[in-house]
This record gives sequence, C-alpha cells and structure tokens, in this order.
Amino acid sequence: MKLSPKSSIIFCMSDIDIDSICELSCLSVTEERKAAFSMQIDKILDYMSVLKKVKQSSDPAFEWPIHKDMLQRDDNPQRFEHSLVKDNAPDYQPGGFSVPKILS
Amino acid sequence: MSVLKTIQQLIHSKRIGCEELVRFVLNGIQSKNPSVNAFIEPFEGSAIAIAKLQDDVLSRGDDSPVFSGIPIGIKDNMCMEGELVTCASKMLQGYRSPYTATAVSKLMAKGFVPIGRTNMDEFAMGSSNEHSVYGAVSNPWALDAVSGGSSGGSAAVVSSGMVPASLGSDTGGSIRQPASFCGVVGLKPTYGRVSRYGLVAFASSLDQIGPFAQYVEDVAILLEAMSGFDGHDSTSENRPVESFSNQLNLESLKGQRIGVPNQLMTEMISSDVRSAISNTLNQMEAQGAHVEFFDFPIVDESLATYYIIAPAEASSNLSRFDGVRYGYRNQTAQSLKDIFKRLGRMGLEMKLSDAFFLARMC
Repeated sequence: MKLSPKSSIIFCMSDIDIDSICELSCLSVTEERKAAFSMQIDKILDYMSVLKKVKQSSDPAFEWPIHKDMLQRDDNPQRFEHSLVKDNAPDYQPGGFSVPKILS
Repeated sequence: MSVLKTIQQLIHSKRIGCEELVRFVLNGIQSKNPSVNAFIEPFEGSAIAIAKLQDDVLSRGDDSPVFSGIPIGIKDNMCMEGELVTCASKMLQGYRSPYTATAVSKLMAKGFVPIGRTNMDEFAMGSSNEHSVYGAVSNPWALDAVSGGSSGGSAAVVSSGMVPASLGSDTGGSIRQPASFCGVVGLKPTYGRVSRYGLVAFASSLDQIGPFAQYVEDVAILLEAMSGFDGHDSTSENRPVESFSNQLNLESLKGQRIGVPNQLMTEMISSDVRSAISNTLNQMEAQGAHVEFFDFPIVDESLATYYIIAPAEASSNLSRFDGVRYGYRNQTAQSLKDIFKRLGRMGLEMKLSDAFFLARMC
C-alpha cells in the first residue's frame, strides 16, 4: 500500500501501511504490536490534529525567546585512550573494530 | 532547613568521618533497597576510595571542599568515569563510561560523593518507572504504588532516606513528576543553566539535569553547585551563577509575582492536589507575594507539540545504539540490516520500541 506524502502523514493516516513503515525504519515489530499500532494510530493522529488550529504567525507565544548569540561552537571534547575505547566496543578484533557486513 | 548543611557541620567538626558516612549509607542501601528497587548498583569501591582521600585532606587540616563526604545518587543515564551506565536498558549492558558528566564532576568538586546509579525508565522514556530492565521502582510511601518517572529511582532514594540528595534528568516532567509522587523536592533547571555533557541524550532541545532533595534549601545548594558554563555543551548558558540558597528567606517572596495558569487548575486535577496548590498560594500571599491567575490557551497544543518533538529527537539521538557503534549486537544477525531489525525485539523494552515507531511516522 502506498504511503501518504510526508507533509500529510501527521494528519491523514487512514491509509497507513504499518509493514512499509517497519521496513523503512528497519524495525521488527511483532504481529501483536502491529495490531495494537493499527488501533492506536487514528487516536494519535486525532490528538495531533489539535495543532491545525494554531495560528503561529500571529501568536506572541511563538516568538523566539532565545538570544541569537546563545548557541556556541562545540568544543572538541577530550580524547580517550585506545584501550578504553576498545573495551566498550561490541566486537573488537586485534587491529580494528569488527562490524557486520553491509550487504546480505 | 537543610540536611546537607547539617551533615556538612558534622563532617567539618569531625564528629563523623567521610568514609564512616559513606559506609553507613552503603549499609542503608543494602538493607532498604530490596523493597524499593531504587538503586541499580552502588559505587562501593569508588565511593569509599573518594571518601578516604577526603578524610586525609580533612585530617591534615587542609582546605577541603564544602560538602566533602556527602553521598549523592546518580541517575543511570549520567556518565561517571569507570562506572557502568546503562540507561536501565539491555541495549547498553556492560557499557563503562570513559568520562564523567559535567554536572556530576561539578558536584564532586564541591565534595559530593557519587554513591550509586539509580533506576529509571529505559532511556528516560516513561512516567512510572515500570519500564526498566532492572524492574519497577516502588514508591517508598506505598510499596504497591509507582514512584513516577522517568527519574523514579532518584526520587525514591531520597524519599526513602537512603541518601540526602540525588540527580535526575527531566525532558517532559521526569524530575518534577516523580518528586511529586514521592514527596520530595525536585527541580528542572532552566534550559542551558546546567551542562548536559555526559547525559545520555533523549530529546536534546528539552533535556536538563536537575537535583532531588528533602528540602528546597538543599535543592538550591545543589543547583548552585552544578550550574555554570561548560564549553562541552553548545547550549550551555554563559552567565554568572547566583547564590540561590542565600536568596531563600522569609523576605524573599515580598513583591514577587506568581503566575498560575487557569488551564492547569481545572477539575481535571484531583481535588487533593488543587487544595495543596491553593494552600501554598495562600502561604505565598501571606509572605508578600502577588498571586495572579492568567490564561495559557495553548496547553493542549504544547503537549501535542511535545509528542512530536520528543520522539523525533529521541529517534535521532538513539540511532547511535545500533549495535555497531554502541549497543546490543545480536550474535545471530547476518547483516547490518538484520542487526537493526532485531534491535527492537531483542534490545528494547516495549515502550521504547513504540516510541521509535511513533518517531518514524512524524
């Protein structure tokens, strides 16, 4: 089943295909959870539709409250010993970190 | 009133030693924790080692940090060098932090001793502390009731008297709500006031680290100690830290305006809670504050917005726990995609996989 365009996903999900979302998200969800999601999705979207009535441009509550100069450059955090890092690696082989193959 | 100042006086007058206090608290954790399940693991080795060093400094008569020897609980999503950090998730089991979070190290510089990591909802997603790989936290006031969450462990360790103070994190109520449930004081600082460096991120634009304690004065002391600019957090606010604890006196409320949103004082709130708030407002007015009720018409929209922002940011932040860079790696998975697919079923509690799903929809 075709997925709705992204801009309308929030408000128009009656044609949602849970299998497609799971595939795109690389999530493995049990059939039981899929059934639960199907029942919950309309309720979630109904709830989110409250946002449609917000007139963002005219509401002073939406004015940007943070000073422009608040955000700073990220400093380079400390560097760690190689031994410390490899101890936390899921799979370390002598000379490098082992990662799974990309292509199946 | 201040528990921290009372203990500080006992230590600096040498009526109790730092190691003695730390061992006393560790024994208390051993006897009280099984019924509450609020501590995941005490930092027995490092806490005693720190306390011994502090005793040495005190015995030499050298300048010692103000709050030397006072134990503090740390939520299991804050880094403490050499200790395990798991966010109460199978996903991070065995992960040992290579550095210490800024908020924790600032408290340690004042003498506080991290005594153990506290239970929480997995990756700080939850409001009851039932979603932890280590099991649910009980409310110390009624063991068959929940502690609230996600910092339920941090609230319960203070409420049960195991420690005088603890740290939690708050994204959408995760300090304030369990503090309320457990009858302690909890504070979510203004965004930018406390560094988030070393906090495992949930929703970066909302996360803040904050303190729990028995009394307001103690929370003020802790906030003062952990606040301040940190170059490792690009959203850390560069402004002087006020002496919050010195501003607490009977005169401090005179002339202050206290705003109360009408939309949050409706019949949807239980009468007990409304009555408690009204009593507090009356006390504030009696001490010279001006209480004003005002309309805050976008409450419903705010919550809906939160439930888009928080899962979306969580999805981005937690993508690093993919079994490659960090996290649980299924040994039977044949490929990268296979690893990802098995994550949701094998590594995460139900609530978290639901959040991932919701985030993907947004």
